[in-house]
Formats: sequence, C-alpha cells, structure tokens
Amino acid sequence: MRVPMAPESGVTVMNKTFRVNRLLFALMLAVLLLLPAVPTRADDWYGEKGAYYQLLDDGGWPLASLALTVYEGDEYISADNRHYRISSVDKQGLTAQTEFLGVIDLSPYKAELESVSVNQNNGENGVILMYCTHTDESYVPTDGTESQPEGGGILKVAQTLKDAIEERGGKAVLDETNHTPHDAGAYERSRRTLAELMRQHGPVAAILDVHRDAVPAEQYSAEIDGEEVSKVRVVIGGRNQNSAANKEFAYKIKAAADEAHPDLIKDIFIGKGNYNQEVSPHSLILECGTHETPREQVEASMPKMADAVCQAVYGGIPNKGEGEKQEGEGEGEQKEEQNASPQNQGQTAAPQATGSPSVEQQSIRNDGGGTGRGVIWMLIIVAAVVAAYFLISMGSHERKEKMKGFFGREFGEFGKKKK
Amino acid sequence: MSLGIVILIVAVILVLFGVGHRILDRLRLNDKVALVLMIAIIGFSFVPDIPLGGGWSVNVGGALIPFGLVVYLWIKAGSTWEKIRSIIAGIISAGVVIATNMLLPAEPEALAIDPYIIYGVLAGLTAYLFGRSRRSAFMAGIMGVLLADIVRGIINGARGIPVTVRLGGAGAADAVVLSGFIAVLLAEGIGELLEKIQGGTRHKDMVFEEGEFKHAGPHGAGKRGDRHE
Repeated sequence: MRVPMAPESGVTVMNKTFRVNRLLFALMLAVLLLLPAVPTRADDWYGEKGAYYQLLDDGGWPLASLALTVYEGDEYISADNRHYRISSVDKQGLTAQTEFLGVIDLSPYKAELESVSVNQNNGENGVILMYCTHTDESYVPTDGTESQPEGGGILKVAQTLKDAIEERGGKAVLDETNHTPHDAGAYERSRRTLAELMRQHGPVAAILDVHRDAVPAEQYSAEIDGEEVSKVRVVIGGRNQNSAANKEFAYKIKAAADEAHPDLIKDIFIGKGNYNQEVSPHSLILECGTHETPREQVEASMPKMADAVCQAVYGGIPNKGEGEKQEGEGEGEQKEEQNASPQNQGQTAAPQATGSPSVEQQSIRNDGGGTGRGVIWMLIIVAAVVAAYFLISMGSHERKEKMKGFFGREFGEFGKKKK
Repeated sequence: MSLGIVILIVAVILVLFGVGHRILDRLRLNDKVALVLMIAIIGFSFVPDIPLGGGWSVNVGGALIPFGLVVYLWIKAGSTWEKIRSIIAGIISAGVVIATNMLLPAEPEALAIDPYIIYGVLAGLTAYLFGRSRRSAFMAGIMGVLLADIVRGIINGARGIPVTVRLGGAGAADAVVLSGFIAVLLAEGIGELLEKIQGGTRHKDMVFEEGEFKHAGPHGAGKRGDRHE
C-alpha cells in the first residue's frame, strides 16, 4: 500500500525554486564574465586560418584577394581605376563575381590638386588624425607573429607615416591607444580614441585608421623608384552618411598617388562596414601590406604615401612648396594670384585659363555632393523609422488624433506658466 | 569646411538631439528636464575626458550624465523588487555585451548592423524580459556597456596589456548612450506591438500623471505601475 507523501508547503517549493534560479543565475553570470579571459584571435579569417575572398572578373580571372566579408553590391576600384560591382558571392568557395561598370576618370581630381596652392585644399591647415583600431596587428617576417596584444608592428608603420607627413610640413597626430582585444568591440573602443583626438586637435583635415591586410604578401609587393615596397589598399565603409564624401576623398588620394608614385595605391574597396567613418567626410582605412610582408617594406612605402596624403589634404607638399618659392620657382603661381580679383586673394586659387570652375567651387562640389546624399539618406531613414513606429503602434483614428495634438502634447510644458 | 559638411554635422546632431529628447521624455522626466539633459549630453561630449588615473578616464556627456540618470531612475523605482530587477538586468546585459563582442565577427562589414545597436537591442531584450519597463531597459542599456568596459579594462590589466579605458569616450555617439536609447526604443516598440496584438492596453484603469502611469483608483492615483512606463 502506497503511503501518500506529505505535500511540500508552498514556501518550501518557492525557496527551492529561488535557490535553483540563484544557482543558474550565478553560473550564467560567471560564464559571461569569464568569457573575456579567453584570448581573441586576430584577423577575420574565414572557416580556416588564412582564408580570404577572391574577387573574379567577368571572365572568371582573379582581380584581388580580400580578407574582408564581401557582399553583393560592394564596389571595387582596381589600380588602373576600373570600377567593378560585386554581383554574386559564393560563401562556400570564398569567391565573388563582379560586373565591370566602367573606368573612373580621376583627371578632374588631378586637375583640382594641381590648381590648389599649398594649404588651401581644405581651407585651412588642418591636422591629420591617426590611430590603429587593431593595435595588435603585426608582420610575421619582422615581428615574429601576426598579432601582438600589447602593441603590434602596425603602430611602428603608423609612426613612420606620421613622421613622413610631418617631414613634409603637414600636421599629424598619432594616438597609440591599445584597443585589444581584436574583437567586435574594437571599433567601439577606437571610436572613443578618435573622439578624444578630435576634441584635443583641430581643425581636422583627415582621419586615417592604419591597418595591415591578411592576404598573401605578393598581392601587395611592388617596386617603386627602384625600391622594394608594399602597396596600400584604401577601404571605405558604405554603411554611413559620409560614404560618398569619403569615396571622393579616396579618389583625391589615389589621383595624387598615381601622379607621384604609380602602383602605390593597390586598389579601393567600398564595403558594408561603418569603420567609424560616420565621424568625418575625410576618413579612410589604409591597409598597409599584409601579415606576410616584411615590416621594413611597408615602412619604406610610407614616405611615398605621405606625398599622396599631403597632396590630397593640403593641396601640395607644404615644405616642398616653400622650397620652390625660395628658389623662385613659385613666381608664376604668385603672379597668377596677384592677377586674381581681390575677393579671391588669400581665399582661393585663381580660376584656370580653360574656364574650369574655381578651386573653391570644385571643393564645394566634391564635398557637397557626397555629404548632400548622406543627409538625404539619413533623413529618409529617420522618416521611415518614425512612420513604421506610427503604423505599428496606432490605429488610424488614434494616429489622426495623435498627429492633431502632437505639438501641444509633446511640447505643451514649455508654454505653461508655473502656478 | 564646406557648406555640405556643416549641413551634415548639423543634421546628425539634430537627429540625435530630437530622437534622444523624445526617448528621455518617455522616462520619468518631463519635457524641460529631458531637454536640459539632452543638451548636456551633447554639449559635454565636446569636453575632453576626465582622467581617473592608471589609463582610465570618463566623459561627462557619454558616461557621467547617463550614469547619473540611471542612479536617479533607480532611486525613483517604484519597489525594492524593481530595483533588484534593474541591477540584475544591468549585470546580465554586461555579460551579454562581453559575449557579443567575443562571439560576433571582428570586422564591421561582417555584421548586418553595428555592434552598439546589437548591445542596445540585447540589453533592451534582457531588461524587457526582467521588467518590461522602459526605465529598466534604459538602465540595462547604459550599465551593460559601462560594466562591460570596466570588466574589459580589468582583464587587459591582468593580462599585462596597456590599459586605456575611456568610459563613454565618444560622448553622445558612444555605445553607452546609444545602447541606452536603443533599449528604450525596443522596449517601447515591443510594448506597442504587444498592445496592438492584444487589441489595446490591459491597463485601461491607468492614467498618465506627473510623468508616469498610475492606477486611477477611487482616491485618485494609487499603486505605482512600472510596466510599459
């Protein structure tokens, strides 16, 4: 005969449940809080270490390798300015098919750079802000490893670029704040570094986030002016309102580099990321060499990169400009400025004899075009979100009533007098 | 600086200001206080971080003001249970933020949305599961990111990595502020969606008085309700 067990009181059951919940909670918390103790792997390699995407042209020939996630719609501009759009992506095979859109004509940017006198390109002698989001990135042949959490070889490369910009008379500031680990939060941490840089230094002429790539070294190897150097890839984030303006800034740098050191800029990639580029319309990622490139080769290319950056940012190489003037080579330019109308003096270079628009007009056209599109897209997105919220949260009658009394209800307190 | 860039910067600040003001307005704050706080958050974002020593620093607009608001909301919480719930939600959100950073791909283009939006959504979901309240969501969103940054700084220090922790360093554009706002928007969105699905509010007896919903009893506003506030 079964003896019925005495039922547990409600309090006992509750206490047991509470103890179990408390144990589960403590366990979950311990796991979550101990997660950061696990070292994070550097680089975003796919599937297996060293994997990367291969971009293919219409005929199936490889265009470039990218240690980035690529999507349909991403854009790629090759060294010879051929413009491609990714039409399909094979995630298993890590290949992306592209469609050829045409050849980009950088001659207007070259003409603009040539017509701008020193320090007038951005209207003032601004400062170039530099930092490394992935401070751990390093170069295996020189540093012995691809990742150094305490600070990798990439910081030395960034320092070389900074020094080279300063040697040319530009203003540059490098912040070496460590953003380890190389995880999804790295860009959130580097955004803070960037914000502090912007608060302490200004006006900002350009922002450069210096990285190194993770594809085979031969993709970046080049010989320029008889010297073994590494090429540089420019990466632009498509997911921010400054994307178009940043693309135009990249074109300027490429135009300057193509003129002074052809082959230096490997290519330009416009992907889906943000990369903190919403902060400035002159903000770029520079991929300097790969993990397999000897750091010395990358450092050797930095003075050449500084030439291009100074030309694009300041409209010339400040020190070179002074030197030329001292030697009397700048007389022609000075005469041209004297002939310009008084309102143009000291503000913009004189219009070109060919009747092209003034430099200031070109500058506004270039910046305004990209940023204008950014503003329009941002407003469209905000309006769409607000409209979606209204549709979800209210019926048609309620919507009408709320719209009718919106300002009275939301801002009513501002009109009220204290009783 | 060109006209286009000036317009762009102004537009970004106006959008952030407008959205932020509306969100703060939904917490236990009136229009004027919400406006002053939003001005303070944006204004102090332009002031350099305050160094705390040892590589640690804090931004007034990005961390101190949001933290002060969290403390105010916590003190004003309707019950002890709500206070406990919001602390638990904040701690779990911190764990979620840390796990998110570790488990998601390191490259931004590999994510459909930016990490700070993911923090906000997860913190909002955590808080909503715990308290179903906008205030809890806000507290969890803010504290989740702040605590995660503190834990990360401590672990880096323990591993011998140079420590630089800038709490709320990006000011109004920092993950701290944005995830707090997104968490409130999510709580609001879920609340509105559930209300629409069930065909209207279950709390028809509640009235909105002095910046919060209260049960309208025979003697006026009575028990303080924290759900959907």
